[in-house]
Amino acid sequence: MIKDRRVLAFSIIGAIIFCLFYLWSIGNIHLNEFNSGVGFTFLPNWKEVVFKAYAPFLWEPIGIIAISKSISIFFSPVNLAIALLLSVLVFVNLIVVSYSYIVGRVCDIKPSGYSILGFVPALLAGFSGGISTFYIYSGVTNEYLTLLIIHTQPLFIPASIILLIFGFWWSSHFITNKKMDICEAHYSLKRKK
Amino acid sequence: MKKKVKNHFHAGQLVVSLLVLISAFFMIIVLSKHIGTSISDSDFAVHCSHEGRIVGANVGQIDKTIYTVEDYEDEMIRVNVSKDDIPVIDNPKYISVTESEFFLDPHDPVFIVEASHEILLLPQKIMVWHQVVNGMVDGQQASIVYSPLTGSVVGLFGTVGGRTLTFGSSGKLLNSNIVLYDRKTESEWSQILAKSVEENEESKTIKTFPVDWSTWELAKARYPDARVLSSDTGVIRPYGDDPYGSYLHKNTYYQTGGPFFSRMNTDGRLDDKEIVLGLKKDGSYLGILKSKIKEEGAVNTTVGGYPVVAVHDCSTDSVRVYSRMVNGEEYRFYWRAHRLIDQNGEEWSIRGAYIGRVYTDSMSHEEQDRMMKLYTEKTANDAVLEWIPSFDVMWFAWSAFYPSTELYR
Repeated sequence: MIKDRRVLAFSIIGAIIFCLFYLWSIGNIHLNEFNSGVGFTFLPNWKEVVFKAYAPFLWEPIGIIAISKSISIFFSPVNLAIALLLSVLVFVNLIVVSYSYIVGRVCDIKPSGYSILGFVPALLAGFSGGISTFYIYSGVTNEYLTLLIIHTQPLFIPASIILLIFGFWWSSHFITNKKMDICEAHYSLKRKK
Repeated sequence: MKKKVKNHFHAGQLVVSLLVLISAFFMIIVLSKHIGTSISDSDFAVHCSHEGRIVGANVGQIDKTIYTVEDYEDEMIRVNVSKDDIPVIDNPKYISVTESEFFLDPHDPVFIVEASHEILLLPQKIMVWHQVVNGMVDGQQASIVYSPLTGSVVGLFGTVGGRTLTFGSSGKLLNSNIVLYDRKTESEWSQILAKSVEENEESKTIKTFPVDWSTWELAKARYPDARVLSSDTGVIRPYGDDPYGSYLHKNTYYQTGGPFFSRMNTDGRLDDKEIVLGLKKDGSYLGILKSKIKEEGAVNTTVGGYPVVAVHDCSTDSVRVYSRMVNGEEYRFYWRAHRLIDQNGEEWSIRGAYIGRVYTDSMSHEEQDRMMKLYTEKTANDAVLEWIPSFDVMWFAWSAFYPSTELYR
């Protein structure tokens, strides 16, 4: 299925969007006017801070890549590694979901909620990365909800990884197999006729 | 089968659905920052038409509770942040007003430190990520400490009992207020209390100096030669993105709702996020509603019976509190024709310095101006009103630390 260029393109685009969104949600893509222009800046003491976490699952950036006056990328190898790990998991999820969708179309199986279920973990992972950012910017100030988010925030990244792995397993071993079985039965029936 | 798979894959549908879904979410977040909740320019306008009208009054205290160090120790909490996770600034770099223009907006809050020989401006958008600047003020070790969750900024001199302190962030909160730690002794200190919150340090209170809230637009106009804290802080943070809320938008943490974390006392005399000027004098406490000071220009009141005056500085839209005792005599102050006048008709500067007898009702403005210049040259600084330790703070935090506080509203 990975040889199918459209499936591949779809999954890569999805994973890239997810990766950018995740980096933005943790503040590693910065969209406010901040720099005086395009350029690179690296901390002179980057070796000391490269593995220093300053919040759960957030490591110190060691450099700034300024794309324009108002777009900067904060470079943190550890944050980037986590973003790539999540993005790869999103990518494989999308591949399987796409394939599941295709199988369904081939066999004239009406789209069911199962395919969407396979996509949900990827979507949740994206939300979980940015939920605290979204919450603050939304202007809602319910202290109980905020407290819940603050206390559960350290769980977001591990939960995202677990959800994505679970989603991959669910899509590949349950939905796709089930659809394939239905497909085979469908074709066998046609052949008999 | 493989061929059929290819023919039946409507990739466009999936790609479009995915893009729409993710883009919509992304757009909601980005737009929510910029649309609908922005504070208009008129909300930032400084009104200086106060002409001595008295609109507020002390409403007295409702609770006489005074907390002990043990109470504070029990109440301190740690939320997802460890010691030194918030990187304080130890070697602050300062740049000129012109160099700072590119990343400060006119309405961005800045904190003003008026030292004897220099003016320092500290942008809130930098301070919110560091909360503490350790440096020198008037030749003394000092720390400027900002606690975003309580909206308070306090200047602390770093010498206590012969020891010199430099502060780091402990990662703990007390009534949502930052708890500092001294790097030499590891003892913990509260910003609002300006004292140690540890048993063995109970008696030690730290001396404070005024730090004024203003906006970039007003501060740079008033102090064009000031030095501005640089964003070159030694670490990289998304300055401009505030992790708690926004002072440029309505209905964020800074304006509405309650505190996120527990507090020792709840006082319904004001909304939680109303800004008061909190002041302490000899074990008595008073919160003065900041909007009332702006409205009246000069608020003559008392804290624990001691006479004080809170004065609005139109040029920076900030507020200072002074003692009303001058040479053993109790004074009252009023605004007349944009000037701070005492009951004898003598003028005082907004920083509490005596200017002289320049005002009478029969004088024209031109005569007043001419006389003011003469007296300024001759008599400035002959007498100075004593600054009463005070700072802007959200009401919920002030009343949580000091249940016995009086309130002027």
